[in-house]
Amino acid sequence: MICSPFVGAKDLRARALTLRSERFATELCWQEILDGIATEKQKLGKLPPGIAVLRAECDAVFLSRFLAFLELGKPAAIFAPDCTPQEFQVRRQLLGPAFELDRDGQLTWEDLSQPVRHHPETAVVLFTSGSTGAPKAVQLSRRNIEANTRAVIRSLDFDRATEQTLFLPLSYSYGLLGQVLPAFATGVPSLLLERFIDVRELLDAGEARGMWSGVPSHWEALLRLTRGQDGKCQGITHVVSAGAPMSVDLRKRLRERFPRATLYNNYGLTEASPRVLSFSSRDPAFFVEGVGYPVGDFSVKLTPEGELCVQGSQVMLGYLGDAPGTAEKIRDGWLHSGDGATLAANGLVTIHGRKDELFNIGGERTSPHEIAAALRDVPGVEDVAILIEDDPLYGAKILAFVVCGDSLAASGRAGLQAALASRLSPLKLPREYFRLTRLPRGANGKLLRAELAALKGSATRIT
Amino acid sequence: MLDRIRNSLRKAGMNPAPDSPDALLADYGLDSLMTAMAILELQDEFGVKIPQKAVTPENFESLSSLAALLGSLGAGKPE
Repeated sequence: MICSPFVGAKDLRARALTLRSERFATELCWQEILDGIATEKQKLGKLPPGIAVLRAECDAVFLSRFLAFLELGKPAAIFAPDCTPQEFQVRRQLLGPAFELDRDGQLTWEDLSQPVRHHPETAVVLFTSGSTGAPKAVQLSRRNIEANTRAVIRSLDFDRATEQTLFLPLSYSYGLLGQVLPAFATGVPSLLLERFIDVRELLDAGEARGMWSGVPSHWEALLRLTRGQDGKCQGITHVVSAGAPMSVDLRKRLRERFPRATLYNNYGLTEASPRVLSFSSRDPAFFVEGVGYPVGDFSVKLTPEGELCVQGSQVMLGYLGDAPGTAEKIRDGWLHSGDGATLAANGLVTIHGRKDELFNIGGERTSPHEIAAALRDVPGVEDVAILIEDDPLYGAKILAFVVCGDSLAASGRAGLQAALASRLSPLKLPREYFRLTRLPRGANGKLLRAELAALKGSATRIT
Repeated sequence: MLDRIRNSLRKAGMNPAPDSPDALLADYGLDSLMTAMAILELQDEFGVKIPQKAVTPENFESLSSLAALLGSLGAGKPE
């Protein structure tokens, strides 16, 4: 048995697997990662002060180095390997003193011109986009990370996973902290794919097995890729979604395609290390509503305005170099999510979209999420986004962008309004409807609002 | 053929799709996820199978390169 000092001497199951670097995939053998950590520690020698810049290449070398830094108690900032030079500079400036090593552990550059300003307990720095679009450097401690690992192992039933396939970027908290570390702690063999498109190889070869994790857009694509090939994907036991809201409609379609799998819906924030809420299809409410239940030792509450706040061991140390931003985000020990929510008596949380997206129409306070949810329920509607514009009379004008079938589009605006009338009060009915073949979403599945607004001119208006 | 390719890319989520045959598709949002959807649409539209080894940045660089790829797979040839 192998003991990892990482999750408090938890035993790892040793797997006698050979590390293979396939053309498209890297099979992670945790024994070799442990050996890799020891090698990395030897390479690292005396480190400069400041934060190490680590580029999250999709390979065992990056993971071994990342884990080595974690074990040595030296802080590391994780960068996407395809980060542009400009993106790199903006993020690097947030760190204070920093340095980078090559694959052999030799210093390639260091910048010690600024005084140290990171929190003394910082273990990992991950970047997230703030509400203004400027990136923020989230400082997480080892305690934060270990608490998340334990919470995820439990909520995603990692102990029942025989293996996992990963195509999520390792610079992303979901991939690195939410999937890799729990697998490391439980010894779950993991296959890393550098490109999502390479899932086709696995599907074609009948090698799709175990736990698969993605954002809802990945799952929409996987539903298309496995259409008419049900036999090829029945080895998948855990369908894990996080990073963006997953509609009840998508959950139902996933249940149909993967009848033998357990489905998991999750919600989190990088600032919460990241997993906050989780929910599985074993719960009958999963196919009705809701986002999930608090994981780990999280307590949750709502502000009077309906914003979700959380408190627990996973709450970040703060934003590096941004004390005012930190003070705004964490108040009296509670992390403000920025999302509107409701709490059921049994603890089930339903998220209603960004708090700063709540708007008033004709005096009624509404969220675009409520309108989008009602539209998603209309048969024939595949995807929805709502844009709000100012209106001199009502305060707000609601525009709906839908991805829908031809027959629904043919029923026109009148058909859509009639379908919504039983679900929404008259003030909340969209003023205009536009049809798109697909909504503009970023790599992590999040809706790109600016692009949506720009599409208004070229989208087909439904009349 | 370029119009059919452009249409397939739109169905895969590229809104707008470029007019120029040599415009870089990456500048129009072609990432790994959209590539997966584009492959499905192109296979449906042209009745060919795009093998995994053909899924390279070079082949998916532009409308022109996609036309060349599809041509090499037999698309657009008379029955």
